[in-house]
Amino acid sequence: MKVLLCVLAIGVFANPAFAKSTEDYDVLAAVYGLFAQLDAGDPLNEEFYWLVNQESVQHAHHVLKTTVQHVDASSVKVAVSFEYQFLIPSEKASPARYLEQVIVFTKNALGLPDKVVSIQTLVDETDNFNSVFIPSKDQNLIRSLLYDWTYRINEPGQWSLNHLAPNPDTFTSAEPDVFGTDTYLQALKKLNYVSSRRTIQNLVIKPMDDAYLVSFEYIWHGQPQEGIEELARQSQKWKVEIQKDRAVVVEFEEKYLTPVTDLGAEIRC
Amino acid sequence: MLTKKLVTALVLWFVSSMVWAQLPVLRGIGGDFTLTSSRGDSVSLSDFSGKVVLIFFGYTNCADICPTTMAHVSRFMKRLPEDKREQVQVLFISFDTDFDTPEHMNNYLSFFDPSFIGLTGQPEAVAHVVEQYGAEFTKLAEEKVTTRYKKLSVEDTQIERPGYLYSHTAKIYVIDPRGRTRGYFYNGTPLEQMKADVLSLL
Repeated sequence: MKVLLCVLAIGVFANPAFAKSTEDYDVLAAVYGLFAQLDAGDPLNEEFYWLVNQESVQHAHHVLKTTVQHVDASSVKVAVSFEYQFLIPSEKASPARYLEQVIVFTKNALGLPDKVVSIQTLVDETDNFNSVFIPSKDQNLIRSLLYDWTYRINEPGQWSLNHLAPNPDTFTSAEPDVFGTDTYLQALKKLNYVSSRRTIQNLVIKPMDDAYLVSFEYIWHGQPQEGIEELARQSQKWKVEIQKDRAVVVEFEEKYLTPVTDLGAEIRC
Repeated sequence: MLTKKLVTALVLWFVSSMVWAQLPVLRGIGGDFTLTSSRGDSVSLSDFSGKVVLIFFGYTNCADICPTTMAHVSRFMKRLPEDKREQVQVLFISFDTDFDTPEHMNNYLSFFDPSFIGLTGQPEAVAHVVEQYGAEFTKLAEEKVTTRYKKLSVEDTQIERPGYLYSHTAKIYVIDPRGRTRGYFYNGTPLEQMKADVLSLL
């Protein structure tokens, strides 16, 4: 019996399904979207008390860590740690605060985390030094967009991307015969995967003129209905603009790279 | 008795899941191509449908990784049972289109295993295949160099015909019998692992 349990344990933990990252991109999209709203100074809820009566101040919420604690059909509970900064006009630096909160979102009719229904503050510490203010609103909006997008393309039959990337002329996909977000989702749906899971790696968000260059890689595991698991690595380069407090992909380019399966094979002569 | 059966079933499941996990289909890279073979004719990847194909991008002037990798693949081929060996084809694609003529590659590869096939072609055709597979090569300098000390199978013993040196990808691409890229080996991949992986594809 001991041998049986041993083999079972090794088998379970060696199974590739357990080895893969299980980031909840829908939850991350909601969290970063929420903090982008808070960056705009909207208190939303009395538990975001540091924003109350602070109209003349600029706010920044730098998310440090998110941990999904519980998910069910109607809600998501997530622990978030973040650094809050504020900037009073005419001052260069100010003390920041480190906070840990447990936030509960309800899910909307589409099953996505939506409204905040409960917040519990676990830690609220004021830094004992002053920090230079670093704005976070655009970064939070872009990350929310990226995680929302990633969640949507993992389930290509269910969602639209039109509002996230409205311009088909600047959409260059690695998939054949794609001319915009609609045909992109159709092409992904045709792959007929029973499960599709992308993991974001090497994310860089770089300001450029009036927009941002967002570059990263997807490590993509797809399980076709019949046959062997597929693995892909893609380079993604997006130009993202902030339009009326929304992040929008105005240029999109992706291409396939060689997946890394064995570091030894990555050597070059 | 029941426990014994369960253990056997779990071990089999575990082993099969490990093999399955090691060789997923690599999406977005690879595909069919046609180049000139070291035997003088045109060869396409699809000609080897039904076989496992191992592809290496290199050049005969290479002093280190290419000969050691070819030697490693040669040792691997010898480990395979004879009937399985016929179901595995090694292709050596040279990007040194100036230096590596079909005849020269034939001599070079015969040293490792007469069944290995060298492929080359017009620079654009080779570059296209290199790109298809996400491989890379870069000429290290504009000056040609001689690798006179390396006379493995080089036929021109009379002349010191210099060639370029390249930095390049050192992967051995593993292509399954349906022409899909399934993974990579390198010159440090244990022979037993290569054997198990290749046999799992046949």
